[in-house]
Amino acid sequence: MSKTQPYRLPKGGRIDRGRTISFSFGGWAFHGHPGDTLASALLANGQHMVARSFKYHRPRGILGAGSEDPAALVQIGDDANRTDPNTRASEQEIYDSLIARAQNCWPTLTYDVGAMNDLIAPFVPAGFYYKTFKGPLGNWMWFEPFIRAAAGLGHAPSGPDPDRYEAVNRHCDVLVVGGGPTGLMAALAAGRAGARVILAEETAELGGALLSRDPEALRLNDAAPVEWIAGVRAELEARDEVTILTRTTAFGYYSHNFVGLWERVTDHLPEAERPRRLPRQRLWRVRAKEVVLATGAVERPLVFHQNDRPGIMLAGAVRTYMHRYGVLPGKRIVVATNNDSGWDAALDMAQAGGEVVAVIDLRADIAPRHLAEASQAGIAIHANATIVGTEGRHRIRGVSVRAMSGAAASGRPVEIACDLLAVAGGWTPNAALFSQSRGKLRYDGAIEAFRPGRSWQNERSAGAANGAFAMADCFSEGVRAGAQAATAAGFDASPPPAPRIVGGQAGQGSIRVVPELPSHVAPHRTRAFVDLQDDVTTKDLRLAVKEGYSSVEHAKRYTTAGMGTDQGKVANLNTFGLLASARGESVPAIGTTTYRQPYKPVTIGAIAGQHAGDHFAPRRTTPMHDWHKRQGAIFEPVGEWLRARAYPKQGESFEDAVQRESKAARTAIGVLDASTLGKIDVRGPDARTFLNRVYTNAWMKLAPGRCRYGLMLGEDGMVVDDGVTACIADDHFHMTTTTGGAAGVLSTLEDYLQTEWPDLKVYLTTVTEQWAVAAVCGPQSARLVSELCDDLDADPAGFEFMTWRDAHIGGVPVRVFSISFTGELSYEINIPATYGLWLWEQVLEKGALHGITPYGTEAMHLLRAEKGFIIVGQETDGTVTPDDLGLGGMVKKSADFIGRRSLSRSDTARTDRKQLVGLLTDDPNVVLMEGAHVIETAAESAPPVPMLGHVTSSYFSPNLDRSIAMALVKSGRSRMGDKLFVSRRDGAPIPVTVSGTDFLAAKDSATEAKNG
Amino acid sequence: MAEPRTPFRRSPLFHRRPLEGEAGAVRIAERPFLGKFILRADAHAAGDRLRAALGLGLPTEPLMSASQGDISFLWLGPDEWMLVTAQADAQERASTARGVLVGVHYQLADVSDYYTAIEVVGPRARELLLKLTTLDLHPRVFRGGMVAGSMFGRANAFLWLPLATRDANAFNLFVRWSMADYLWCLIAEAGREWGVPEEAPIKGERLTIG
Repeated sequence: MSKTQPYRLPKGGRIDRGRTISFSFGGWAFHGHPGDTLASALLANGQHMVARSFKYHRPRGILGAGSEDPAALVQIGDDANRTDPNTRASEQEIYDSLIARAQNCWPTLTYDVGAMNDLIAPFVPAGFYYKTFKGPLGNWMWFEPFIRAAAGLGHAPSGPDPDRYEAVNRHCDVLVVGGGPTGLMAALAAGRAGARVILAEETAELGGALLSRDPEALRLNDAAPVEWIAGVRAELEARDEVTILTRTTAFGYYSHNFVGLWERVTDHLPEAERPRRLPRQRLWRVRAKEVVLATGAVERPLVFHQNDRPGIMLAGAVRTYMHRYGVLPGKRIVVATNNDSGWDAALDMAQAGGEVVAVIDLRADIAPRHLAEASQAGIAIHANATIVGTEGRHRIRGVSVRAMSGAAASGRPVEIACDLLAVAGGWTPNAALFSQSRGKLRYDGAIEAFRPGRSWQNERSAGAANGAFAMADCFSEGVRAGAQAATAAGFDASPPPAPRIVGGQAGQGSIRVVPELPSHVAPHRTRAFVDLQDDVTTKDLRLAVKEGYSSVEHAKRYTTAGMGTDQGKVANLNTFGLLASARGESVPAIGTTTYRQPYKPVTIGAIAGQHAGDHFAPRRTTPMHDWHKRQGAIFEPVGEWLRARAYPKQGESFEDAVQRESKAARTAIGVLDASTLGKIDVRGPDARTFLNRVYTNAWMKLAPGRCRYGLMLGEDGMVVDDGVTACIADDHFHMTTTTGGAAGVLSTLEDYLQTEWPDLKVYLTTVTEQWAVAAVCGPQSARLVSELCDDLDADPAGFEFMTWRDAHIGGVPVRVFSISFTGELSYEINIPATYGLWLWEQVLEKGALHGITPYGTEAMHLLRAEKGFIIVGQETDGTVTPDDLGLGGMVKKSADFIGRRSLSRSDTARTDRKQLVGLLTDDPNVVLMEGAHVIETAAESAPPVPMLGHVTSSYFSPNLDRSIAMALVKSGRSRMGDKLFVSRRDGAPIPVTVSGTDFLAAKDSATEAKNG
Repeated sequence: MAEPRTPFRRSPLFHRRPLEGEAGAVRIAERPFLGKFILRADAHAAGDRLRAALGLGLPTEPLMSASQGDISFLWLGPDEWMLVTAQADAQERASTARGVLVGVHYQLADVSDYYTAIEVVGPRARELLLKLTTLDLHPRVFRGGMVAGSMFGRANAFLWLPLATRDANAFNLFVRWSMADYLWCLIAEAGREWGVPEEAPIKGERLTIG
């Protein structure tokens, strides 16, 4: 394409004419200027058609000039990982070498194979999807692939997003949404009061509707509009407490005045010029004391036969393109209106040099001023007239007009050739955020639209968003709202005066709303579009009502009206009007649908913010982590923790490493990093009583220096945690919890102390990470611990099992616990965490003489299973009582404890519950699958197969030289020695024999029997 | 047998070096090995005794701290404070406190090794931290001497603005050992806008078998 921009006005606009930008659209090169949006630059080049519609692939042009545009959606960028689908051409700013493509068309925009869909439109009526559901079985299955292939929008990026995003939190006194005349005055009023103000403007520049007016014809305080805006901006910027955010959309209004803002930080810059230190987009999570909604109004199109051609635009949008971007998108212009604002627009276009050939007004009564101005400008006037059709395939070529008689078209058609049809269907207050805030909309007959009614949160709508369309009203409402908000937030406001306006504009005046413009075309042949994105026609809406989907909420879902990415910003009120007329009721009688977040689509990247990739979540590591990593450990995520799972040697498999480590820990010596175990310091004169209520077993007599294993239940009697607690002193205990349960147990216990047992004098403090823990295990462990400690003989003869000692290693105080999770001789050395790595290296250095083997969590799991020790969360799943685990002996009869009462419920007390047992496979080399079902018969019966329980833990034990497993089995303890079966996916069920869970003891007694 | 090597201590952020944004916009550094103790007690029962022994009582105004020399009490709850001291005399201070609290129902738990402190200093410190927390850090709201526990990203931490520092924006963030690296890197990421270099969290662990 040439460098000339045939529709660019000779002057005006907020664009930098000194610089020309080249960009591509649909493979063609175009030129524009800095300050242009993709839409304004394309219009300057005469390109109206930019997309194909969702369902029928009909040509779609640019209708609006901002976020309200329904269907001018394009795909930005050709980097497969960065490309942005469904971007409104009217919002995307152009930059050098911007690449945009048309969506939903193949092979090209102008020659689109999918356009054949338009021919089958009669067979794809409203509620088509639902009808396929209700048809014969398989109907939808047959249609779905075709529908999915044919209907659609842009393409999502295919790879990981290379850009950075950021979420930012802010509190403020007054959040002003919208930087037009209303919002500017509100921000000024609140800012001068000293309030913390955030002003969020969706576009690149402050000014809003002021930028869409003829700057020659408007004076604010005797200054040109942009000068006045610059003055306001300068004052706001000079205030420390005011934050101005442009290119920022308030997309969600949530409870407690929490508002989500979406800032496009670098999207307007060429990729090479985007500062690397800045995120691509930011999410502002704002908690505002008060909110001012100055979100303006959205213009509605008119609904008539063939109203969806490119070149049919909103009249207000045309004015924005003229004055903000210096583009008049047509040479020969027809304006169709139902209110005064269309006349203002027509005059504006004529003054800018456009040939306005006709104004078509649905109304019969037209203000004399407009009539006079129009005739003076040589504009033909069609009052009390209707549009009955249009022409032009990829761009409008002509309009067919008839007179109206009552509610019908009459008389002979007048054909008017044009290349731009500007439509003015009246203005709708943009009350989406108000509605999201739970505010109730009310219908205002004077403007024939819904406007904010009763507020629910601390917010107020002002200006056009509040139905006040005249410029003077916007300024004064803005002042009032800003001052009111600042006062409500606790500031003394002295409202600034609104600017003196010369050449400001009145509102839309009287309006005549006709839901569908009458024509002579038979109703079943009309193609009058209500929703341009989702291809919903008046016929679809009438059909929905006829088929019983007549409530607004039903009709919306049945026809998909207002359900596109634009959320029906320009379409919704027309939809309601049509439904009302089809039902013979009024719009206020049928009501409105509910607006929901987001106001417009927000990237997932912005919502994820910086919490992505390496920063996704904490990876909690112990003080010994570096050592594990250096040894090539394989790690296991346990909650947020990373724990060493096994330490395979060069060329060794994971399984072999686990076998080697398990063997070493039981036959020689091993060491485990047990630092992650939860630890709670329990202190106070009532500490024993507290423990006695928390655990199922007895704690009143545990002497200082001794340790005890405890089971903790929920109030439902089910096991929730376990661990060893040591008595430090009569009023002081050191409790341990499971790694994953640490935080939950502490908050539950603190909750009990504060709410249930405030009489108990007990304090709890977490000390989990104060201590690094090396668990030394194996027959040689006593010798090693003795050698390590400056002052402790660990010989079990003197240092009894289930006791603990204070000691020192290299002068550093440590606590050594003689406790065991493996059934083997074992010591847990606790040292202040900053010494953890040093301790670990000491243990390995001195342990080397004894052949020490570091072992990971997998070997730990295996070792404890050999002894039949449970893991909460593996043997238990929230439905398991102590008795189910064979630990009924740990349940005291003498005193109350959490969950006690539930243990006598008929269900928990019955004897045929699932009970923990051992399973030994007939073939000792077969290792059962954890989770596999235990059944009674050698072959599976027809489904549902009666199930006795499931395998909870299963390993190959190197110390028993066979497979071992634990399982929860119905009436398991009465099945000792019985033959059962464990089902598997491919193959016959595996025969097993029910056994006890202490496999080591069984082996020892078998050996004794043999020897004896 | 070889003599044991002298015990060495490693702070959680041993592997990190102080970071700085451009033109002193923000500086980030670990303050390792501070003495830190959680004190739980009744403010009236314990406050006077502690004041007599340490020259510093317990602040009872919510979210406030009290400092005297290099010791501070940080209010964490109606019956909970963190005692922060210099490394050198931490144990001595703690045993002084224990000494005067005999007979009072109290708990003093050493958490010096549990938490470390990350100092975030500079004119952009507040703005940086707002990327991580929903606390209101406006100077009018989060004043000198205040302390608050909250989520910073996905890590729980205590934010403290000591009253007597050379910089009105010298924040201390007390974070668990295991989360320190995560938070450090997230702070650096938040500072990139002002030229703080990128810091990659600990990663590269093998998580798969085989």
